[in-house]
Amino acid sequence: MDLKEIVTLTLATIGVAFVLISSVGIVKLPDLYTRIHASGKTGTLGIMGVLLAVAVHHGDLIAAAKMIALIAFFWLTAPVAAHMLDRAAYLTGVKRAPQTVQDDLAGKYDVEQGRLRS
Amino acid sequence: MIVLILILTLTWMALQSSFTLPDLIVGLAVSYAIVALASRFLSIPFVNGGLGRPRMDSRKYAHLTVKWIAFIGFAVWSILKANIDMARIVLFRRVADIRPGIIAIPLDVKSDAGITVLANLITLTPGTVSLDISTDRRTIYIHCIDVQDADAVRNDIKQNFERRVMELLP
Repeated sequence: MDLKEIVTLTLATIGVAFVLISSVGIVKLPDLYTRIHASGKTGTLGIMGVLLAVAVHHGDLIAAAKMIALIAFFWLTAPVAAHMLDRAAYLTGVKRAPQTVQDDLAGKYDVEQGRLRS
Repeated sequence: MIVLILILTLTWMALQSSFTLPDLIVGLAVSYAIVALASRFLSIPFVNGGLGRPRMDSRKYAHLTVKWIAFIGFAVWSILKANIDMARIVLFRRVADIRPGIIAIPLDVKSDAGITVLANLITLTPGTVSLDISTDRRTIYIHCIDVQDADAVRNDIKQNFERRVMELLP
């Protein structure tokens, strides 16, 4: 095994491990809001590991540029998806886990006016 | 507008790594479609030949460039830390022990771009996901997976993230 293969395998392993942890989180955590933490965050590092492994495997600049662009786009879009899911869940009244301690949003939505008070 | 389309076309051809006539035509078509679809959402004024803000003097430009590079480095570092933090919570904490909650944070950033960057950064970093922004844009609501001390979370975000975003996009 040469150095390139070792680096590729290491990166891919780290990536897959984080995707696995993210999946475990989705099963284990108590409600939708906390599950979004698992999928939205751990997922991003997982994708990054796998894509960097692809870049190293191909070993040329074009592949590296494409993968880095993909990572950048993923990091720009994943939080938006997480935010929209969270917001839609809150607005449709998805139940929070019983251990939730604080809710500063309670009663702040003005549904008729379509406004959110500060 | 034209400049934006040409830049996108060049990027397209560079990433295809072939500079032939069909690539140019497809690239132009794709770039045109992207700009047409996105123009509704672009609030960048099309001054300075479509490149965005008007000219600034070169010292300030260099300073801003360094700031941006430092900011991107900080963001990547925060993302790595966030992932390891999250993995630790998922793997080693008992579910009954975590204390999720929604916290309101007053915002000082005013620009749309600044709020967007801050909200994305909050979502990608340890234990917090931004949930919504109040209509008057004075408050951001975040979901925090483990609230030990709401004020500490507030301070951390204001001191670490908002201060840095403010310097770049007030």
